[in-house]
Amino acid sequence: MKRIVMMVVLVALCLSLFTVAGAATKSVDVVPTLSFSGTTANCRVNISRYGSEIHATLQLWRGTTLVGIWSGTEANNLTVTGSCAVTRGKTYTLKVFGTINGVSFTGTNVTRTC
Amino acid sequence: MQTGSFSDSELKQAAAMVCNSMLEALPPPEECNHSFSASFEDKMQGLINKETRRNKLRKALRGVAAAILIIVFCSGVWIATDAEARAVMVNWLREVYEGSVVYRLFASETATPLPQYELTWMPEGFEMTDLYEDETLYSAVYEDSSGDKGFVFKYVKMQEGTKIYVLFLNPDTPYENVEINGVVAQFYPKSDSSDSNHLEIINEQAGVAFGINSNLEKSVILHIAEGIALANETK
Repeated sequence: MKRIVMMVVLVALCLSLFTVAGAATKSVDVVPTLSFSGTTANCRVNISRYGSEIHATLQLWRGTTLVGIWSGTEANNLTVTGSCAVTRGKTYTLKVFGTINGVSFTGTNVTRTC
Repeated sequence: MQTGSFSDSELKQAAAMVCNSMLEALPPPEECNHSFSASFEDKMQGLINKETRRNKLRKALRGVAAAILIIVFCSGVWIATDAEARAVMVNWLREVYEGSVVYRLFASETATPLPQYELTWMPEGFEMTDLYEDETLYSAVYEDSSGDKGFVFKYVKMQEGTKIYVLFLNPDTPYENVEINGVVAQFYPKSDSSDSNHLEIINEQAGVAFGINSNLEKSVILHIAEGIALANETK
């Protein structure tokens, strides 16, 4: 009886893992870029996944202060751009997150000093 | 005759006594005047010189080997821990980071504009349906008339602060290295029908990273990629 219960638990565990796998975002090409021109930060993210609805939010942070936020939605290929005033010598972090066909994703941050 | 076992110290004492009595039986060193032949002396000197040279060479080689090992080890540690050091050697890196495959581009910023590329081949009936273009990024969507099949073709200028990452459920997803016009590229096959194939080409010489994301077959994607050419070259 103990063995049967253990087998059932194992099978359920495996099934739950496969369910998570099925829901996950796959093969999405994300290109975030942060550049400075003088005291203006230029932020951009391009996200491609053919056949999907893409929603993304772009945030620019200086430490724990949010200095800019931009977002957009498009099918197949989304580019979100934004610019804002920054301070020379300060370090800024660009964060990207959103959803692909309703499944959330978070991108790797880009950190640069103005 | 006495039989029985001896302790180690007894044996040591006995050996020392035998050694002393043998040494006492020998004449003193000053009485042992013997002159060896000149040829023997020469041979011995040669042997001593040879051994001395060999020892010096061995010592020097050991020093060189140790220096090489230290240099290799330090370089390895430096390159592994310092991204800038890696950037000096390569303009990009492929890393697996928190469920994503990340291409980190290190090339320094230059004032050169983004080259104009075009596709010299694509499946029949495909047309551009969307385009985004700026100084460092070109991104276009091509689709067939039904809108069921299509691909995104993009290229980005390699410069500091740019990352390209391909999200995967499992970063260990098997990928395949393929050669596109002499450049090694990575093809990430789709895992199921809801996923899409992805091809990433980092052309260091051109300073451009290309990507094709599509629900088309691998052979078609590779054919499209082989047709990427500089716009002015095709005219």
